Amino acid sequence: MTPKNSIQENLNSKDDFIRSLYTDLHGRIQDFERGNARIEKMKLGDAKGTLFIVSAIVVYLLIVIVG
Amino acid sequence: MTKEQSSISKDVAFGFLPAQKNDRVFGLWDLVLIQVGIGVSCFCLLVGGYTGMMVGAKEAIATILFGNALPVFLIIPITIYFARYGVDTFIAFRSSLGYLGSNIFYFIFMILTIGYMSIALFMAGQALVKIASFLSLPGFFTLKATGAPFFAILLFAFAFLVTFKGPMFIRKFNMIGVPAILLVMLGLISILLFGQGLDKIFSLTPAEPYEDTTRSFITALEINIGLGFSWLPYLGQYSRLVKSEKSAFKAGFLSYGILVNIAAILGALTALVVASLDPTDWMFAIGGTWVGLIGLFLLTLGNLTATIFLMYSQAISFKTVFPKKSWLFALATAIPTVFLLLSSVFYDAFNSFITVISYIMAVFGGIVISDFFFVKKQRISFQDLYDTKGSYYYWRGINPSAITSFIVGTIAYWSLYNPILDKVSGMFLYISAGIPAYFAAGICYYISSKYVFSFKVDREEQRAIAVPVEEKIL
Repeated sequence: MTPKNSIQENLNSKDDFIRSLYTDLHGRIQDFERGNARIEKMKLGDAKGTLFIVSAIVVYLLIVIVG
Repeated sequence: MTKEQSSISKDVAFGFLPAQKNDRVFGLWDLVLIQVGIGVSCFCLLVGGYTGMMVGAKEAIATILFGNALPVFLIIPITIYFARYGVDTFIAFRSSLGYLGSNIFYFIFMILTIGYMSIALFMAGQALVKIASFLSLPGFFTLKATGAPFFAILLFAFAFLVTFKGPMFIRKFNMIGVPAILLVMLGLISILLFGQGLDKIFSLTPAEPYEDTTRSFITALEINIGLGFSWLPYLGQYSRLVKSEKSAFKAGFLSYGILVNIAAILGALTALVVASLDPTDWMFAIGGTWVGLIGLFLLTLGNLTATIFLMYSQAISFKTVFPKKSWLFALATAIPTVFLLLSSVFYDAFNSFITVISYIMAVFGGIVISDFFFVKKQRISFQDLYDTKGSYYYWRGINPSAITSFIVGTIAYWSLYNPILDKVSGMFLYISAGIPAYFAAGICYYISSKYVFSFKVDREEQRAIAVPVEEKIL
């Protein structure tokens, strides 16, 4: 970490709550960077249902406008 | 540290820290239920009420469905960001707006929340005025000009005390308040279906349309677009706690884009029947004396719960952004709400409020989507989101591309529609204003970040293309 890093500064805070908060944060960032906190990724195909609903609503709107 | 202070500290830490695997407790339907519980509120009823005053039932349903589903569809991909990194809105938006820019966005969220709280409280105040009239209380309590502000401020004080007590007390209160608003909806559905009948409702004409039917239709659409975009700052709160990115995406769309529309449609149909947009006028008109009284009581309870939820949400978000400030200071940010409760001016201008929100959130929506998906290409420095002296410092803490895009989005919106004076340009009748402002801001942000104010952090994705990127959506 560089000396200017604000996380490092808060790790040395005199406020117990802030120090403990940033200590926890530091651990979680390391955890994430090691890939331990990753979740299942979304694929474009997962949006098909949503796209279908939006299309149906657009068609309904057009029918109401034209009718 | 007292038990209450300890639970507040836990909530602050929970909101500030990125979610870990064991924090991710929500599946698709858990999240849908929670978000619908939050989203189905008096605001949806009121937006529906405005819609039903301008257009007939068929047009109302079309404008509500489209006006909410499309804006939510345009902004909901950002939930992938919240879910992937497990961070809340105001931490996540640092990558596009800058550290100071994201704090400014928090203050806009605060104004939005103050506006929402005052609408909920004033509506509750009006409901209590009607109950006071029924009970033949003295004139001060039964007049809208004196009684509604009095009851609304009294309820604000109660909400402040409950919120000050912390989350344990709020959760107990929510167990009464959320079912109350759902009972109001159920009552409205029953009365509309069995008391009036759909054939009659679909044959009714709106009470206060514009002279031009196209103008009525597009204005009703714009108010609903405002409601759709207004969910943007609330999306991160629970999306970061899901087990998969697709659950955050689908649940966000289903709840805010589709299911909360039930409340708005109910509002529109009731406004058509009663010829008033105010939910407190509906209860006696369609329910009779006793059902009306119960309805008004439940509406008061529902609005009070909504206020407590919003107040707590605002204070916790404040502590997430400024963790060193005290809990009382964070809570005191809700006090300006009282000024909006002194008369009905703000409550009566709800349609202008929601359309102004539409413009602001549409512009921010365009910026954050453009940044995450097209400029950063989903590559975020996790450490820099929290290191406020890191890469997302940009220029004095604000991203100049975000400022430029905000200005361009503002010009696009206000040249099409002036929501304060309710003046429109010819183009507004064809393309509305919120959605064009979203695209204007998004496109401007992309061009600005790539070719005008191009920072190192905006160019880093180009280097990254050479290596496999497993966390991108395919």
